[in-house]
Amino acid sequence: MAEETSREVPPEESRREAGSKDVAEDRKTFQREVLERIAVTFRASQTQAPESAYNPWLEQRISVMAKMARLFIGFPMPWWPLRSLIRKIGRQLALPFFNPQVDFNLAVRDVVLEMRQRSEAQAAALQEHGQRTAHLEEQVEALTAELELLRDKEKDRSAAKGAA
Amino acid sequence: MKIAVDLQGMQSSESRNRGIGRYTQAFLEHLLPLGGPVEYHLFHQARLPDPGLNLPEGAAGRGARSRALEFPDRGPSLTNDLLLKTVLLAEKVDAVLLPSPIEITDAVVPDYADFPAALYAVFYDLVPFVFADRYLSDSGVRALYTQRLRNVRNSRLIFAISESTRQDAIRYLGLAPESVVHVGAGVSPFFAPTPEAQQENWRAHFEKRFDLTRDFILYTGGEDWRKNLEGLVDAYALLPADLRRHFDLVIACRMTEAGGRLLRERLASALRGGAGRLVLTNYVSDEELRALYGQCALFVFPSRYEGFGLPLVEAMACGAPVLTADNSSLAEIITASEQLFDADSPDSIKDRIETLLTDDSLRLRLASEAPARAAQHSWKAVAGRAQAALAEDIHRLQSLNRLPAAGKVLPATGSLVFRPSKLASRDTVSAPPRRVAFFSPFRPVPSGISDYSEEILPALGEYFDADLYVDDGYEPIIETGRSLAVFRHSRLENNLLVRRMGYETILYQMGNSIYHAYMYAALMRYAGISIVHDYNMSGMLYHTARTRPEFGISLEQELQHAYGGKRGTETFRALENGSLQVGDMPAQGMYSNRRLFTRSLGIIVHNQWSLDKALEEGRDQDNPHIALIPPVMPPVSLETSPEEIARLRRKWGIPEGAFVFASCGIVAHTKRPLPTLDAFRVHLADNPKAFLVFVGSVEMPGNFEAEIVRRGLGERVKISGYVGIETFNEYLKASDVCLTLRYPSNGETSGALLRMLVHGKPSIVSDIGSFANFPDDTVLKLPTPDRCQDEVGEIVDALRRLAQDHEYRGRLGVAAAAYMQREHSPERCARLYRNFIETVLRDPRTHQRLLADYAGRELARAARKGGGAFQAALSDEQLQALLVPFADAVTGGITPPATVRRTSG
Repeated sequence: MAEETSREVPPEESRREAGSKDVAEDRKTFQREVLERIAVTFRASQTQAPESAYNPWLEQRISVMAKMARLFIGFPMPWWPLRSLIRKIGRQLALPFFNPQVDFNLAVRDVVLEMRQRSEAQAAALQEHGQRTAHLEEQVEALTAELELLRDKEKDRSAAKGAA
Repeated sequence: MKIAVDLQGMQSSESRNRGIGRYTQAFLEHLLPLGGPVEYHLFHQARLPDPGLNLPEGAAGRGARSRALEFPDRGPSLTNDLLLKTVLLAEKVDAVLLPSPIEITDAVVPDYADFPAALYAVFYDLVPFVFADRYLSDSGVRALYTQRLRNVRNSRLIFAISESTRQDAIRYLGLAPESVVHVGAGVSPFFAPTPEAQQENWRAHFEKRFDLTRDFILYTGGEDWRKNLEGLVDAYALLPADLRRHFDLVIACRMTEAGGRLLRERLASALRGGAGRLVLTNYVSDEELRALYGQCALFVFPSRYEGFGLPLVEAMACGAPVLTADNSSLAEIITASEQLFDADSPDSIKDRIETLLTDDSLRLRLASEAPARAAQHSWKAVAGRAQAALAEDIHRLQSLNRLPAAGKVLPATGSLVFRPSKLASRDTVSAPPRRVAFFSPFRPVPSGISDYSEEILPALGEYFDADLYVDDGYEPIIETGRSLAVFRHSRLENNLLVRRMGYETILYQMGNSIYHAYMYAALMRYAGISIVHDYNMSGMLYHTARTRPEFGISLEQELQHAYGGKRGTETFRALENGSLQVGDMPAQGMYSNRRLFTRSLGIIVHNQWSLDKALEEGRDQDNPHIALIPPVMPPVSLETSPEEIARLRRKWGIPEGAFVFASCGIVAHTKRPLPTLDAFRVHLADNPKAFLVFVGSVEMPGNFEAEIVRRGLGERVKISGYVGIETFNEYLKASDVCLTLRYPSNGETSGALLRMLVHGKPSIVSDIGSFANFPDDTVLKLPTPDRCQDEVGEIVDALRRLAQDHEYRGRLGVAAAAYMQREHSPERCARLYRNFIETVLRDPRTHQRLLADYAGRELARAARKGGGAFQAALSDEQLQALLVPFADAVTGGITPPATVRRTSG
């Protein structure tokens, strides 16, 4: 590892040799560099920043809702039954000046976009390999089998309970 | 743990002389000396009166000295807010304590929502919120109040000054009960009964100053609506005339003329000439107030709502019998029903006053008990409770490993965008994955970098979660075996600011084509690590300025940055008037890449040539981190059966039994296709079985096919045209010897060459640029035309040698494959990436670059919001002046970095 890092990050040697700039001058140069850097970022942000409707208050609300919405991402069920649940939670958490409906919609839009993008990337990869269908079928089969097993267990348990 | 403490509550015009200012002072004077696992960094505003905090030397680490901050604007402004945040970020504080979070008039209290430090706040009351129609009717005030309230809401811990305030915070702000701690309030030992010996003096003083000759009922506080002075005056008017004749009503507080007049008129109209007298003292000194407390027959505090009710406790401490309203925190301080009344009912107030004034024994009992009851509210206890809660929270943070070591780099997750770190949230338990944003073109964009990225990503996945950012206008095809999120580049801002997707860093896969314009634009605002695939950036800049105006990249400015003002402008003009072709710039030593070095946090180059060139051009003074990480090349199976080779040759129309040379890569003049053809023609005379394939698309002027026919090579030479990687690999497998020549070179790394070598192919290359850096036992190097008499003859010799020397051929191939396996494996390259990223992020200069970018972006955001100074377009000079305090903040207190010169390793 030592060999590898030394290759990427070659040893440094100070150029501050006899007769080079003094510390005050270095500081001045450094300050000027920082100033220029801020100016470049500022100008670039002015000319090319996407005019997002950046609104911290609104966005904080969205992020709260998006966090909640993300909690449900892993659930193997469609979105819509969760919708009202999330909305209810949203209302419970609702703060002064909150608009749960608007926040919810924005949050969901955000999360759905992300999910769609992720799943699109995944779907494209799978499709390319011709594995998508097989994979999904396998999953469905496995889930069905698991479900059956659970049902059987449940039945056995109820039966045992009844007998007792 | 470094905690910044805001002292502005002791300075502002609205709080300085009121309860909040006094609370802040006493709270801090008792809390800070307790120390604990905390180093306090105090700050105040230079423009406002001195805070006057009285701390023993060394009480709070560096804190006993408060740092005076100069702000460009007066009062709240976006610029001031941003400057304060920049200062705190530069100091790398872990938390900010706001002893007075709701300052509206002249304090600078930024919205800390996107600030990567924990927030702690003292919370007094929700008066404006609860009585919004009275206190928040002004939209400006309402907006500021709302913003300030966010800071309270975003605090990890809120120190509530009473249980009533705590409950309000939980109920109205939706805060988690465990995050709001009731610390209470204390009374200063200054407030104590007036010694008997001084009573007479004070009586004389008040008689002289206020014409106060009779016993009196006292009130002190404010005059705003919720203080309910009207209720008190009405109740006084309802008292029996006999009592009014004996007791004046004294209101001892600063009062406006209009307010005083209204009260007088109100009393006069209620009394209709009856007995009774209202004394409005206006401002009284603390000593006078103490004596008034001590001499009053009764202290009445009829507020409709209080956060605590300090005057009530002060009066008790001075031995006054007290009455107060049965609401909010007041009912916590006074619990005996005989001392409580309904604030909204003058009759109720009057009844209690009358009872107390006529029942001497009760009044004396309350007076004698009062000091002891007031003593329950001590500052020492308040500070102790706050300290315990704070220590517990810090312990929780530390056990979650969420605290950066003091004085080191920012938390990694916050290093890029200064989003609220995980510190700000109480409910995070697991370490977030290390995420990076990965800017690159992907297939079908016809660039070697598309393939490169697809090959490095799976290996990088070992260390990072990468989110991919792509250009508009195409659907990327990405096969990495992992599910990766893909975003359009324009989503970056949204993902960072709105969705709080913090990235450890951004990786820009930078090349010299228009496909990289979007990331060059992003780099201008968000510093990241640039992987420089092409040392020359001239073409990309030239075409970006012409075809992607939305990125606002000015070719002239970029050239000026690269070559200095004069030469930059001259070069720009020469390009404009056609006297200089952009393609000729490298030949003149112009690579136009300086911006990459000045803007990036670190630079990765792929070959020794580029590294040497960068050092030669002094780019190491623009960027302290330049690393050589070889381009990735996944290993391939080297076993190809003769049957497979025969099949591939049939498939691609190569004659059976031929000795196949493959010239790999785009066919352009710099790849020397014509000398290759000439040499091949000579070689064919010796080796009639020879066959030459140009694997790649033809991108050169003139008719290359006609050149082949003209040389009579139509039967023995083939052009594949553009091929994907799979087909490219099939051609490699079908070939015996490969070539990739180059002259001149921009130092670029040839993906084609790497593929040739990883397939273990004996290869002929030009001894130039990055090609020259391959060890001599892995490739056969030919001198470039400028360094030999006979270019064609050199190629002929090489073709002959490799065609005839079977053993040499085998040796070259084996060495090439082994070299590639050793140097270019994805695992190694990914590990080197990680090491480099860690090195870069650890460097304090990285923090400064990120901080400078943060300031620049946020200032632009302020400008978009129309913040004062930004209304008009700023000239360069105006902008400079505006930015100076920010540059000072970024560099303040930090030793400037020693510029270093790198030597190649």
